[in-house]
Amino acid sequence: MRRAMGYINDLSGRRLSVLWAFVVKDLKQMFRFKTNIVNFVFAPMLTMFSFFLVYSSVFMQSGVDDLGFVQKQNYVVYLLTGFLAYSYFHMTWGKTKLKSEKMMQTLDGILLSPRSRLYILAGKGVKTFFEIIIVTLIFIAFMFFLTPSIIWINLFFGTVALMFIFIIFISFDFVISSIELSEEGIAAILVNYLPRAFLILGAVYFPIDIIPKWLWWLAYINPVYIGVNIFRSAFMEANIPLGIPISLLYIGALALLMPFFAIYVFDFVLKKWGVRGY
Amino acid sequence: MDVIIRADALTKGYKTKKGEWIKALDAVSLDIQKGEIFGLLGTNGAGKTTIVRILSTLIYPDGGQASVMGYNVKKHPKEIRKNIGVCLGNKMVYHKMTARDNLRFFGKIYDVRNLDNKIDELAEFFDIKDRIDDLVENYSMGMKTKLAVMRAFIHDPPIVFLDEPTFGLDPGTGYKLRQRIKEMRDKEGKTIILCTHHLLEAEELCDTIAVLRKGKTVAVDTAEGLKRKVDSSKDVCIQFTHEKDAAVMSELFDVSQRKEKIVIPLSNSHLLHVLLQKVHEGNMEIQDIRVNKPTLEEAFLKMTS
Repeated sequence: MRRAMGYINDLSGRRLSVLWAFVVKDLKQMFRFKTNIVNFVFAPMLTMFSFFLVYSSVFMQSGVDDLGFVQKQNYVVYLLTGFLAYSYFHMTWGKTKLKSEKMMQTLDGILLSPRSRLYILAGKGVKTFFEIIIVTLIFIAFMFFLTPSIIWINLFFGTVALMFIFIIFISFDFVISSIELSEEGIAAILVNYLPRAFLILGAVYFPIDIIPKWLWWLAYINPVYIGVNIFRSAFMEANIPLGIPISLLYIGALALLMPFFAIYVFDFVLKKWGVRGY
Repeated sequence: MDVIIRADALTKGYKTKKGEWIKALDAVSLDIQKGEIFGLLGTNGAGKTTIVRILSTLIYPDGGQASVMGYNVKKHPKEIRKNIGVCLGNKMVYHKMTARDNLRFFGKIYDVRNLDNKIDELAEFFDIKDRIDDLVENYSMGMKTKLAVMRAFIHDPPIVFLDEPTFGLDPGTGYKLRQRIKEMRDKEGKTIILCTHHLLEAEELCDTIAVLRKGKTVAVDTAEGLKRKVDSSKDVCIQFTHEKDAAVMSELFDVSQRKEKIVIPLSNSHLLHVLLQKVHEGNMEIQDIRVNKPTLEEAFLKMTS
């Protein structure tokens, strides 16, 4: 707790300008690669397009009317909300890029400064937040025209839930990125398989009704499942087992704890294992 | 003078792929005085950079203690970081950003006041004012080194660690940097820890030099002291105008000869006296007389071989 307060104190006051320096640094590097901006919208779009093809053929040609919560009349909305969650994953996963900072030794440059490690995460988080907010606003505007009835209060809670998911994702990515500083092999396994578990058990591509029942409880504690369904509830009927307030509290608490856990892992890796593989 | 950096029996090791334990540092102890330029010399893998990384709080030692300005490297790293500037070769800069953006970023994380003036001042000194707004990826190796050194100086720290700071620099900038390092010690009272393979640079700049070999300190002394430790004898080299005169003298006094030159030990002053008399009597012409002192390079090679 004392350590967490130390991190917060270090981020407060005039030091916001330091945080801004971290954000600008990452934004400037991002804009050097113009293709990044295209990539963060089109890559998820292509993935989700394959699911559109599958669902449309199931509903249009096989005569099936529903697959759990996905029904013939709402599968487009279902997949579009899934697309937004997938975009969040795509924009955050692998974006903290501590490995490239390690190779350039700029990470050493930052670690040599008296700044808290939370700045590194916060800087990368705020930079990614700019990307996410653009996609979210485009998406909401699109849904406004596509869906006749929007439950605005749920849309608000849903957007808050997605922001929590974003914080959880970016912190998780920071954890893996930290492990990568020393153990690239372990990090490679985590970075490839962990997000798939989040998404498959997150009702992003398909409802959990079609997966074995014993896996449902994993979905119910999965923040992606909770967040995406709160957001979905603004446009269609969605499964939120614990109700919106408790679910929000749960993923909010995770979003609050995860950054500190990420910094803890980062410090642990540096102290116990050290940075390897220059 | 006060001791500003103290290392006591520092040990650091790492495991190889085969599982062997290699000691990068083996009980290294050093005392660095405030306001001196302290050189770290050693062969590749001797442990110079490991010492710098421990003292600058980038890595922790496995054993022993180290303190910088009285702060323990393990317990108070943040206090140490406020007071040090580090340049580890030509890295630690973002290639996808301009030099100015790099310096702005690092300046801001150190809360540097009047940052833009400071950047202009450094750019002027290091002669990259016209390229300061170029992307670093387009810089030559020497220019990247300049930028890395500028980065270490941006917050004006009282202690500066420089690892090969003149590597890849043109002679003019190398000279200017050496002058700046001296100025930092003499006028600003800064303490500088310099890792280098450039022995003339070490001799010119360093007040004290530590020679490392396979993670151990072989000697800590001034450049002159190191030379004395290895060999106290000096030779006198006399170069005659004509080779035949050198041959006559070589045979007469039983000293070594190479073409027009003969070499006699300076310790034998009587021999030198008699030899010069014979030169005078024989009307021989001397072109040059030089005292051959042992160099730091010779001392270094003997200590590290």
